[in-house]
Amino acid sequence: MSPSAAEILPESSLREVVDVFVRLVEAAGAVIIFVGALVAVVLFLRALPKRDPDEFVPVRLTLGRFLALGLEFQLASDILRTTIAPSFEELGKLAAVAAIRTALNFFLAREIREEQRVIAERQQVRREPEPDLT
Amino acid sequence: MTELLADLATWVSATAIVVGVLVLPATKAPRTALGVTLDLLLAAGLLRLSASLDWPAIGAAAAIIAVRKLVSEALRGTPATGANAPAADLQR
Repeated sequence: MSPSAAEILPESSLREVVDVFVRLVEAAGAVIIFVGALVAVVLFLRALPKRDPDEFVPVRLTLGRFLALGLEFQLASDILRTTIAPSFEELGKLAAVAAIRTALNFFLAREIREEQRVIAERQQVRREPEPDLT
Repeated sequence: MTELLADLATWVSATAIVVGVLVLPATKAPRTALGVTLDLLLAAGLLRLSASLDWPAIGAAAAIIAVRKLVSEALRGTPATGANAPAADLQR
């Protein structure tokens, strides 16, 4: 008689394995967000002496990209966590957190696109020669 | 890990305020200073959200994100021209 799936991989073992994965993926997301904040602080401080607000736009873009990447990892951990969420209360919390992260990811992606468009427009204006009015 | 993440979130929050305070006099652009501060506060909010999964933390993170979005949209919608137009540096 062949062993059943529950005998090969008991539910408690599955929970433990998935929980380890959830923690690893969530930690990876948190590390990416923290490193992004750290990098952004250093770049902000380096841009300070230039006293030009335009210098801060690429740094904010960089931070936005780090946050978006970290959010992707955290969303992955949310999806993993749904496989082991034992109660309706935990599922509710998970849904709330996933909704926040998804909405934020959407807004961040939109902001990054807009900032990139603004930077491209500024670069184009700088490249075009001023019209000769004389 | 929860305590470490909470500590990191606090550290990033404090840094956000310090960087914002430094950027404001350096650039004389309140919008840039506020944007920089809100971006770093958002990172802190996300770290805090990773630290704990209880309703107050979720509510706080949602509130921070909502406030950040509202302020960003309000600043983006500031009129650029007209009699009551703000200084040029406010548009950045």
